[in-house]
This record gives sequence, C-alpha cells and structure tokens, in this order.
Amino acid sequence: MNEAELRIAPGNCSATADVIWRALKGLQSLCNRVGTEDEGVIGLARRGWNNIAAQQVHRRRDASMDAQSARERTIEAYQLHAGVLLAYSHRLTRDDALAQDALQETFLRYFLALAQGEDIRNVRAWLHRVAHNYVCETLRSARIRTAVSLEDAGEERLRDERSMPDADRAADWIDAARQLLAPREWQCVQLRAEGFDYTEIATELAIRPGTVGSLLHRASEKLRIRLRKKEGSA
Amino acid sequence: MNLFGKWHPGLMRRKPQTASSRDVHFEAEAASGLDELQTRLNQWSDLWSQDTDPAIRTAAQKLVAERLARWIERCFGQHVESALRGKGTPISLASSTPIFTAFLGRRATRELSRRVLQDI
Repeated sequence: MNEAELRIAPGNCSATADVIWRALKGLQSLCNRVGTEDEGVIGLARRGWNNIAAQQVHRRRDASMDAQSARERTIEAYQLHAGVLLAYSHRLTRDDALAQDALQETFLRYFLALAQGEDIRNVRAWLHRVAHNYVCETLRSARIRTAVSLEDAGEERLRDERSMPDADRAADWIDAARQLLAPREWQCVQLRAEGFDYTEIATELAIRPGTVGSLLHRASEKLRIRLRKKEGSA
Repeated sequence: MNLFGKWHPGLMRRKPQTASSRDVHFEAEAASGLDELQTRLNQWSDLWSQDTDPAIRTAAQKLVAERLARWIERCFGQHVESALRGKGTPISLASSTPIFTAFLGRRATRELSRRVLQDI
C-alpha cells in the first residue's frame, strides 16, 4: 500500500470517505479481474471522478442552465410567486421579519437548485415546500415553542371579512375542525384551501395524488358527521 | 374555491373572491424585497463559475475558493483536494457541483453551496 492509499484508508478519514474507499476497492478488484492495468486506488479514483464529472456536466449542459439564466428565471419566479409565498410564510410564522427571511432564502435556494441543474417541474409547489421546511428548521433551531402548524388560509380570509355575520362562528368552527382532524388530513385541507390541486398537494407532502384524495375525503366525512351531531344537539 | 361552504351553507361565500387588502399588502411587501434579492443573485451568479485568473481574484472569490477547498477536503480527504486542484483548472462551484452531487446527493450539495456562499 503506497502513501496515497494510506491517507484515505479506513480509520484515517471521515465516514463519507470511508464509503468511497470501499467503493473504490470494489472498483479496483473489478478492474483487476477484467485485466485493466493496476494503477492504484488513487489513479482509479481520479479517473472515476473525472468520468463522473464529465458525464454529469455533459448530461446537465442540455437540461440545465448557466448561473445567469438561473438568476433570470429566479427573478421571474419571484415576480410571479413572491406575494403568495410571503402570505404563506407569514401565516406560518406570524412574524414579518421571519417571513421576509423565509421568502429571500427560498428564492436563493431556488437559484442554487436551478444552477445545479435540478429539474423543477412544479415551481409553486417546490417553493412552498422549501419555504415550509425553512420556517420549520428555523423555528426548531431557535427553540421557539409556538405551534408550527399551518394557519388556515380560510381562517385568514374569514378574519379579513369581519363584516360577515358568520365570521366568529367560522373561526370557532375552524378551531374545532383542526382538533378533529389528523395532522396530515388537516394539512391537506389547508393546502386545498390555499388553492393547490391534488397533484401539487401530493408533491408538497411527498405522497401520491390518490392518497390526497383519500385524506380529503376522510376529512370531509369527519367534518360532516361532526356538523350533523352539532346541529342535532342544538 | 369554497371548501368550507361544501360542509355548511352558512360558510358559503356570497361574493366571488377578489384580492383582499391583505393580499395587496403582501404583494407590495414582496415587491420591496426584489432589489435585495437581485443584488444577492448578481453576486452569487458571478461567484458561481470563477473562471478568472487566481492572481486577480477579489476577496469574495478567494473566500469562496477557500471554503470550497475546505469542503472538498472534509468530504473526500486532503489528497483528493490536491488532485483536483492539480488538474490546472481552478476549483469553482460550477466545476465541483457534479462531484458533490454524485457523492453527496442533490439536497446536500445545495446546502453545501448555500454555506459556501453564505454572508457574501
């Protein structure tokens, strides 16, 4: 074993390098079996990396874009979605500064994703998911004990419409509904009220669109039964 | 969209939904943040592919190169860092992204890039 091999030998390196080390050993034995000249692990590593890099760069060159195009697309997306996303972040945080931070951070991550060649098909759902994750991470790391659960878009709208005679009743009803439904069902209802379609909700929650339908149906049934009981007792 | 009206007629919206004053407020507030984002994106996109001569690099470019070298060393070891540097081309986020993506995955690479460009 030469000096180069010793430097990335297990025990001398991080867990990631350890995984790479084992992969390279496998690669080396494969090369030996097929008769490739033994050029050492580091030589193989260098060749392997160059190949991977070349393949990925080649593959991404068609699908992705350079940093300038990524920047332009990010600004376009900002102009399209920033208002809605800020309202969403504000509902999550109840804090103007944190909501603004979440907005900026979400679009910076969007830029990085585009620059890295990520294929984002549903921009709106992607942005909402990243904003949601960012807010959750921030609140968790700051150990803020406020509820991280989403505030309902319907609730916000109904609070705006204070002139409606049913507004107070609706707010009570929404609180009751939140307690009644399972967290995942409640999340689906919230996103549906936000205007998302089934596919977008599925993308955001990382579930199948069929499951979204089931969750919404179950939520709807629970609420209907609850309402009937309430009306019966009144 | 009238989700709640489906369950109870009392919650049915009486008027077609128009943009509320709250929505307009958020739109205006979001528009005010565009300048800040644009400034940040301009800097980041300039730093993304550092194809300038190492001798005439700015402080920000040097900082990014240093951070990147540290991450490569931390993830793959010192030897690999020097091997990659030895290819002659300067290490940049654009050139190192495929390698990081191959070994760490897309999300981790994005997070790594964010940390490299943080506070710049």
